[in-house]
Amino acid sequence: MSGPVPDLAPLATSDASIMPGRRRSWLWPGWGAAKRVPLLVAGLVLSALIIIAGVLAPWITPYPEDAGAVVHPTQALLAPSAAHWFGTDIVGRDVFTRVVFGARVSLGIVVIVLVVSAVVGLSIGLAAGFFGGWLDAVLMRVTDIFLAFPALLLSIALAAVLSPSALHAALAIAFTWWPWYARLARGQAASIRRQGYSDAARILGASRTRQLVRHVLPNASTPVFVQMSLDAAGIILTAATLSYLGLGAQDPTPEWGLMVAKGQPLATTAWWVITFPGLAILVTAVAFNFVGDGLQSVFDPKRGRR
Amino acid sequence: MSRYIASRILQALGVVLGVIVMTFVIARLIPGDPAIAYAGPRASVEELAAVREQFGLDLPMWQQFVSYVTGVLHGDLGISLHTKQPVTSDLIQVLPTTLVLVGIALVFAAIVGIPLGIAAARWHGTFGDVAAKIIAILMVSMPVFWLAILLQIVFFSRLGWLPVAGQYDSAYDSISPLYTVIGVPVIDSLLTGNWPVFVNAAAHMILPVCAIAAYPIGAVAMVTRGSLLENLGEEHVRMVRALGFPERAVFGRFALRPSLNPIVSLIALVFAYALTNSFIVESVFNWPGLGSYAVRAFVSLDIPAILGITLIVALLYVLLNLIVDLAQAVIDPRVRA
Repeated sequence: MSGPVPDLAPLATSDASIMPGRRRSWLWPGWGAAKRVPLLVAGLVLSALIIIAGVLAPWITPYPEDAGAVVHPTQALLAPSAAHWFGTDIVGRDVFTRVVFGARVSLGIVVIVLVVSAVVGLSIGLAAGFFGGWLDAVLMRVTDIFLAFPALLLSIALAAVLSPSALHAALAIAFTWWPWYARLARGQAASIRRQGYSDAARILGASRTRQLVRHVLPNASTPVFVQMSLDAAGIILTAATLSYLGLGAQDPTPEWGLMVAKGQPLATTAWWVITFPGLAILVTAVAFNFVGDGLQSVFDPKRGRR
Repeated sequence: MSRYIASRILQALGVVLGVIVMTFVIARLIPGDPAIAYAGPRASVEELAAVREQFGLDLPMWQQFVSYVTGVLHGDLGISLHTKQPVTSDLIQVLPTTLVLVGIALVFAAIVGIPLGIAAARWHGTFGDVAAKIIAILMVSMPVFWLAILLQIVFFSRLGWLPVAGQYDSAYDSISPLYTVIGVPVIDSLLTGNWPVFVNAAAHMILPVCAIAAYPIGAVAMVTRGSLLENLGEEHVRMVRALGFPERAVFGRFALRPSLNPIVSLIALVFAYALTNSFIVESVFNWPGLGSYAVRAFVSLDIPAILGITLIVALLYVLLNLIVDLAQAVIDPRVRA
């Protein structure tokens, strides 16, 4: 017996269908909760703006050709003005244009890393948790070895030995990122396998594939999505760090970390060359962290408190 | 208890072996011929053959692996292509100053982050809580290379309050010579009572420590807050409240103690972050430690040094994880089960 007062917490998180009288939006059932988490809303709005800016970059920037390998020697290192909101860089390119285009590069890397690491991690983790036994032991020991390396270190080392490019940086990051998903998915699969509905499906003669796809995968997906949103900021920072070190995107790619690295020698005189790309990294990481943190407190109230 | 310790140590040894295998695999995955990388692109066929024989590159893969593992176990990590010195002696030279830097940054992070988290939980739901949370998220979202450069611009170029780079001003060598004890000026000067150098070296540490501490401060504050809030909901704390204990006692005596465990388990992760971030911070501040050495190795594709660094950092990380796990087993008997 846990105490004189029955714990009502489980009811609060149970399905809406058993709680008549509480209407939920059909559009997104979590809307009510989101309204109670202002940082989540702020993060979602900010993230949406960044994504839209990246997608529409060629149409909303004043000098779209500056995203490439153009040179305007006469306009080098102009301070911010009405014509160049964020000033110009050492070869005279518009920093505002390049910062907006930079969203495409960074978001592209985030998508590649998340998709690759989630697919690889989910496959390995679900297989380990669902089948158990020796397969579980082998897969999880391999995962442990990957987790023994600090993630940033392993991706730097890998990116260093590959030829530097944005794609290779993304793959190097994904290589260090999947073990977290494997561990998460394994835990989910192992606990779902012990649930009543899983037993029922097995007894009714559902094939293993059907059990995995229809019962385990959908139930493991919520924590995986929450984790993905929490990871997006870390990926932005890691990718920027790699290109700052010269191990990621190369000139003339408008990548934020690379822009900071190129502007560093001039930083004392032309502050705008490093300040705005760095701010772009910070704001994007903050936006994604707001979303991740907010989603965690909505979907997993015990772990992520408001 | 001893059984738990034994199994945990065995597990760590297994991971160490896996880490060694992994560095070997990465080294062999590298496109290009390591013999050409060492001898240079204009080396003759005979020279290349000589280099291959010297480094055992002509042997079958499994023999190369065996000699790599025996080398590592004997502390032989090969010769750095950049410094032409054994990687092991290079690492021994650069590691102490980095560990001191990261250690001070982590202590600083705990001093700032834990009270920030406690304050946020204490005034949960107020404006101050939201502000603390935003500060913590800003800290963990900060690109560390950018922060380091901004700190330099503001506190050196603009204000001129703090030195820009290095461990101490070499001008002091003639006024107040420094005797080497462990090779870290700030510690050496303290141990030998060399106050002028100590003050100077300490001033040199402020900016790098702040840059490295940013992420740990945010992470520690968020975990402290979350862990405290979780414990405040526990029945024993609710009972203490109901009995009319003052808030101070509720926090200090009943909620904080069990909240420490997640913070302890965070140490290893935060250390790993701080250490890899120190790579970037050190190269920005020209700090002659593991980080500057590592960045030089990464950029110049110095494979033996890259592998040595990867290995030593992974080993430190595994060791720290082991210590944290054992410490937790001592603090909290539930962990041992």
